Amino acid sequence: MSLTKFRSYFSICSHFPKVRNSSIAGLDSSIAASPFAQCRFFSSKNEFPSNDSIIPKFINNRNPKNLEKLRIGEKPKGWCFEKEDKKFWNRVTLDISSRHISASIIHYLGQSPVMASSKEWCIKKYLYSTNDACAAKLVGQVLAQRCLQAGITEVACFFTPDERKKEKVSLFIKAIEDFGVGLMEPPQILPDWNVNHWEIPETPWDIHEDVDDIYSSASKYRGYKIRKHAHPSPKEMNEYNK
Amino acid sequence: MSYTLTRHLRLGLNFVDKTGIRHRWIKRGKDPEIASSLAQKMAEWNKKDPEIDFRVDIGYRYTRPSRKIVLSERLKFRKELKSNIQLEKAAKNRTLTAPMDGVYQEWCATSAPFHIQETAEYFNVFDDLFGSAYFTPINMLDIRYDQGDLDALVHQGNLLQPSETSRKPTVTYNGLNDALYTLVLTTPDCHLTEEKAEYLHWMIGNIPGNDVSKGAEICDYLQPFPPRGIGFCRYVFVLYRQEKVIDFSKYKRPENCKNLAARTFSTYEFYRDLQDLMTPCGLAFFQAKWDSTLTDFFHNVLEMKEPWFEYDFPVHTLPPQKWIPFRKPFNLYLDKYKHPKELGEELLLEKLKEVHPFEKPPPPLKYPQSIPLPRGNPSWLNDDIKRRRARTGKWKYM
Repeated sequence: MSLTKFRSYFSICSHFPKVRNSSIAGLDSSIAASPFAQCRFFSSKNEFPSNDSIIPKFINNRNPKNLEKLRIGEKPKGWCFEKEDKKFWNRVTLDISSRHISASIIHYLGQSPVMASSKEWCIKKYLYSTNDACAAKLVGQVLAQRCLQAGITEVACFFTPDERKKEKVSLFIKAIEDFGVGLMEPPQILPDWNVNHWEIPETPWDIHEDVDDIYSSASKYRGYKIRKHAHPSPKEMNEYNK
Repeated sequence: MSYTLTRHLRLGLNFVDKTGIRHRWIKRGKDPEIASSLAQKMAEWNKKDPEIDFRVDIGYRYTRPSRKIVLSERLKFRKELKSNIQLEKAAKNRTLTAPMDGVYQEWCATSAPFHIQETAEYFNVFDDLFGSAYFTPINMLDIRYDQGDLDALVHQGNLLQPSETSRKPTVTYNGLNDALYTLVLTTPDCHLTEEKAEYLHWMIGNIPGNDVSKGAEICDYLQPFPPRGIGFCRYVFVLYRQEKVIDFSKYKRPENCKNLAARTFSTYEFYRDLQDLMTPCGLAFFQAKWDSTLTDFFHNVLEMKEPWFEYDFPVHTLPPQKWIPFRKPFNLYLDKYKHPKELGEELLLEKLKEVHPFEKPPPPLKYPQSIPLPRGNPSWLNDDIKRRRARTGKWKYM
């Protein structure tokens, strides 16, 4: 319940003024025609509005992969009865030919951000054979490294159990996993429309690695018992307010 | 007498007698043989006119050394590798390992510019920074944020924390000694007021050769500050090469500028003015999300209230609300059309009736539905009480 959360934050954290604004727009909104000239170049007049006065109600994040990282982004759903399921954001493809081993990450829109192949000199240089098991392993390692360089931490993997039994495929998969790239994409977070009060069970923008968020809304949905302890003790409150 | 469903729909009758109706497929739209598939429709929607939607290459052309020489060297190298018995044994035993650093170094020297360009296309960096232009980043940028023992590197979209990027990074690149360079760090994502503007985090102009410290600091370094709730913002380093010294006084920001409006920037406008004098040659970018150190940053450094956002989900499309909804449970129907926050407030008030301010809440009942319902209650009210006890429907979120 966003309304209660807003109120509780406001009363408890009074000297951490947090202005909770409505939203970020995920959809394209109309282009705001604004006079650009006054803000663009610094003029000697020093007429710039203070930082406090420019906090907006709505803000647009143009990063096209932001929603996917927050798990809110759309996955192409409905193709589960097809041979190739399209329900993914990023997918690993492996192509083992008679001469080379190539792998790439493909996005559902067709873009290919990361690729690694034994055709590349940087990989070929260190291989005895360009299409054996060691090549598959090295291609997997290099692909995983480049994935992390591109900020891709989880990819969907659609190998059948028969394919996974093959040595090259299994070494390739293992190499990716060992390097730190997850081979199962998290499910898309969908608002629950069946209920006559929609609410998002986990708010991905509230989950942070470093903050132990005792106000996390995720704790509310775990059950009655845990909810009892979700409210902090006065001692914890004092420490938080410091 | 049985009526068809179509007749009911046509006459707008709300009292639908469903006995004796045989449901059948009703054609909507075009014939299946003629109608276009989703893929075809999307191709139609996303069609681009080549005369309007073309993109211009504004960078340098990647000059390769002679293929003949390179190929002969590489073939020689491979031949030697193939004759290496130890390597063959390692390959057969699956113990062959390659140094990842070596692979990375060789990649930087060979195919990195094209891979970085592909990754930048994936993140829409060129579209958001330059509009309808793109370039191949021929100079590899090595950007390191010092974290004590380790360094946080900037690649092509890797995830960094704002606490890691609080201080200036050390930037190195393999540039020409007699040329001048300009380095610009901007973010196209979290601009607070304008739709298509960026914030300028760092700009160093007229860098002689490879020595970034000797360049003129046109805009001081300001650490990335992705607001809470907005998700991941991109922070893009672009390196431009120029022949002569350029006058950047128009873009000069005051020292230690903390005013965000003053830091508003447009790479498109910037490059359009200076396109004859400089060319982009290097690109690196990272993604950053809010972390707890930014609260102090907003309060003490930027001296503003910390903004906190949440995603604006598209509203569930419901049919226009009817004054008298026939054959529909009126309480559930009305709840659907309430704003979620309004409904949340009602639920909160109901919850507060149960909660005692000083005592602990009673333990949950084992068989909540076993308590008899009051007689004389309308059926909808009893259904609501049952749902409340079972914590289903809207009561799930009380």
